[in-house]
Amino acid sequence: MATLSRPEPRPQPRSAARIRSPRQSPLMWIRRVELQLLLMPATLAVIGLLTLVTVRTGQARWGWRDMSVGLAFVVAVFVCSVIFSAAHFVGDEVLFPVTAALAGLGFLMIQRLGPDVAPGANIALKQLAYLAVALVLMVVIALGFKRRHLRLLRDYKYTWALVGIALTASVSVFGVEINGARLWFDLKLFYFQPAELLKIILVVFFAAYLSEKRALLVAPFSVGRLRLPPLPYLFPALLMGVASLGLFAVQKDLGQALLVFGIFLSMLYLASGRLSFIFGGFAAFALGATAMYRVFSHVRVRVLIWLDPWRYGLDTGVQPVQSQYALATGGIFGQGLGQGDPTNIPLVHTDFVFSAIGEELGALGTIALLVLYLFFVYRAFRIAEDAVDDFSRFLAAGFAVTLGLQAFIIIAGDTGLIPLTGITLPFISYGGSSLLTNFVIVGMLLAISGMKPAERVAIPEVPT
Amino acid sequence: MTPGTRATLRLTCGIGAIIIAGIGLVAGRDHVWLVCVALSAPLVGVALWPGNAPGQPLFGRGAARLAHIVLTLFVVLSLHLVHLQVVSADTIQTRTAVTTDGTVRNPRLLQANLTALRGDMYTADGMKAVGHIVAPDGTVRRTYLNPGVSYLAGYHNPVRFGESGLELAYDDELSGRQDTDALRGFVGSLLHQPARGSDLLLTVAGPVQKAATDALGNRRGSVVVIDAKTGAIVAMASTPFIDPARLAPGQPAESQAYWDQLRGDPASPFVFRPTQGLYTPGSIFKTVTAAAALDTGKARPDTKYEDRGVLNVEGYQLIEQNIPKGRESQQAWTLTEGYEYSLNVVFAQVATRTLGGPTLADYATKFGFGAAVPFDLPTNASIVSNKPNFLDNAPAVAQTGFGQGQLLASPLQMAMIAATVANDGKEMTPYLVSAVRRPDGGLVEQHQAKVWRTPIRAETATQMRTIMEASVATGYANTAAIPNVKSGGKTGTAEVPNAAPHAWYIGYAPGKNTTYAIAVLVENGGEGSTVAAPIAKTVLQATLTYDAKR
Repeated sequence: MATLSRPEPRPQPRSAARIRSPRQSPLMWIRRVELQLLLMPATLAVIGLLTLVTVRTGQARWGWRDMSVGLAFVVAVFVCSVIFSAAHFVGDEVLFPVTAALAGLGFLMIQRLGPDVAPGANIALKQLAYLAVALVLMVVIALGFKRRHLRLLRDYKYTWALVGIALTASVSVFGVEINGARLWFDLKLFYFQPAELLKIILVVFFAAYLSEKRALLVAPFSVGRLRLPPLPYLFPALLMGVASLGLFAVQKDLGQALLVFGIFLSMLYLASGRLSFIFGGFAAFALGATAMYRVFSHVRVRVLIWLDPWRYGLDTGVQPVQSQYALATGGIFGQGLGQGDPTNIPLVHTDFVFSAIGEELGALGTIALLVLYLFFVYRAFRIAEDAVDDFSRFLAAGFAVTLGLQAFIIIAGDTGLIPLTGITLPFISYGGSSLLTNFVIVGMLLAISGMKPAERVAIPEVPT
Repeated sequence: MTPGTRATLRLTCGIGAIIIAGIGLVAGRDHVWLVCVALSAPLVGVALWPGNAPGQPLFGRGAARLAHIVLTLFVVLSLHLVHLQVVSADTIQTRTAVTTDGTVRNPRLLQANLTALRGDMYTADGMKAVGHIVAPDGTVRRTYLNPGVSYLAGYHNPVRFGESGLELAYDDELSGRQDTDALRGFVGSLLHQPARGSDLLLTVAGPVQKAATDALGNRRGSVVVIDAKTGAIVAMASTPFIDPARLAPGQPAESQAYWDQLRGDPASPFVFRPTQGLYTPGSIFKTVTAAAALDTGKARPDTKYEDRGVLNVEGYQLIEQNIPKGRESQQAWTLTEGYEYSLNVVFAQVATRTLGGPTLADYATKFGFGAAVPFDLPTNASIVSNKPNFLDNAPAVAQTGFGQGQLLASPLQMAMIAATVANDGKEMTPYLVSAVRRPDGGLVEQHQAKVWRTPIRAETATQMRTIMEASVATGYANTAAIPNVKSGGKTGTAEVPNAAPHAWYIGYAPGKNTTYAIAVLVENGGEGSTVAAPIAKTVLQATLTYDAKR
């Protein structure tokens, strides 16, 4: 690539403009943009709940008590922002409101679906508890995560990666089986899915490895006259990637496998700037997918259902078919919150929340949701660009890709654009581990965005 | 690449993507759509590919491109959502698929059917006959206020049995699925207002319908009363009938038991006799033969025919059984007398000598034989013969002339023949629903009286009325005579193989402003004059009482 010979100018951090002198008025520390933007998810939650409470279905399913649960979420979100302000946190002010909007919509949908999918058990209350823990985790990481912690992550990358893989592998032995898949540890308080943790660890590992070996990756590598990808330098990363891929494939967690593959490819491209890696990756994907289609019957079944769900509409294809009915019934404007019938889709609150949103909020709602995810991804990329060092830059970009791809894979699966794989819709699906993981990601992104330029020179850069 | 070619490439790819996606959206079929999406995705990618800002660092450029790939994926996803939720939404919603395990249906359609505020039905006298209530669980239940009318309305059980009768024929209007006002429908769906169906105003008069149903009692048969001037059905009784209240949702075990009982009933309660039942008409068909003879001008009411108790038609020996007591010596009978006393020998001669097979068949066709009567409920076409050359030989023509042969007629068709005579030769299109009315009172549609056919001239009709009135005054139809009413009619006793004959009566009686025509049929009931005519008398009396109060 041509840019190799040219020294890279340091990007001018945008957040520099936001650095305020402590001598100025204490009011200057108030995160105004964030507070103002938070009004959107707050309004969304309140109006959504009012819609639910006032909905007339013949039997009262929601009351003012549900309203207080929703308001608790709104309060929790504002408290987080106030803590940021009080701690003089200077990180990104847009990311958290976008996250809160996504989580708020998700929480609203759990409240809406709760009485239908689990009558009696208040799953919204449970989700609120997860959310509270997740928010605490996010605040702690955003405020407490310093460069020395980043260094810790970077330097012990192999340890983390092995721990993650070991945990994920051991779930096959010690885990509990839910809906035909053994992917969770029963931690009594909630079911923990180590694959979610492995996802973060892999991003950390790739970021650490690739930022370290970057110079080698962009250098030409040739055997004789033949220019090749720098395979020897990639070997450890490839090994980790292939190990996790193989693990997920064996555990039949195809969604995670696809996601990890996408993350790996994207970060490789970021490090090398070579599109040929992406095309090579696609070729490898095609080969791998074909092989899996031949070897694993469950892959074959997924593909067949994807190609013609109607043929299996009362059996294995019941979810995709009912999802299509739900989305189509939603139309442009949707049936209205609480007025649709999305519980015709089995497991709607975990795998198919998106279709429930589509039925009740319509195409306007679903496309708005896509735009929210795009906002998140763009903001995360921007944090990456402004980050203080290569490792955090790769880390942030990796997280951006993770969230974007994960949202795409599950939404495309729900809508029948690609074969269905059971991964969660970030911030929205019901479930503890996914929520915690995603808020950890937000916390790390915030921490990266909040690192002061004064710390920029604290550790030596890896030469580029 | 120069900036110019780059811009051209982008534009080409963008337009290409739009065209391919457009083709996919229009085609709407699953696989075509997926292929189109797959083809347009890279084009979208190229069209939106971010350019290189001068001096942009390697990482920044890579990040921009990755973000752009995510954007492309989401654009494609939005396209897919437009396909699912906007363009093909209606097709997908109503899609059904047959699998080895059963049929896949959208459960919401059933739910909508259960919760739609279904329109009510009112009889012509302004009484609500079929209503609806909202059950505590939010589903809508039918209420049946007039048992005589409910079976005409038909059953409505979207969960198990579906719909029949008017519930089926006017399902779109009753369920409110199709609001004639597009704007109101859109606003209603936007505000999530439950659909409120339109009401049906029936032409049926409650008391007459009840009288007709009661008069048949537990015999199998049918009564049709038509307003001869407009074609409005005043009563349409069919026995045995299905009680829709017992097939309503909410009582699965009882309704299934009742359903099974109905399915096994040898009396076939699922056949709606007035419009779907086809029976040998017997002597009432002489009305068509006589009308044909008069209308062609080949006979007059006083034209004489010889009847010595027996007739040989090309080897077919016809024995006269109907000569009235005490007049056995009379050898020549006028056409009027032949009709009054239902003389088969006379009508065999009218058919074979005066008319001939083709003319007779022609007149039957003019009255509506061979065509399904256009009506609010399904009808079966009455038939002259089931073999095209049946009327080629004289014995067959003779038998058809007095209503036997291969003739099959529905009670509705026969009532319409009587109505045509009463209405100066104009046969009106019959109708059961006079108007479809929105709950706010606005009319969705109103029936306009229409002439279906004009089989005979007005003069012929006048002559026929004289003959039919004589039949009631002094003939065998006397058992249907109503004191102080100048009514006309004809009895029929249709021979059927290996069973008692069908008892028939057709006729009319004048009301204040119109004339009411009637057809009565009792399956295997016996003599027309002793079984069917008294029923006609009772029902016509009820009709005239109702008419007087109108």
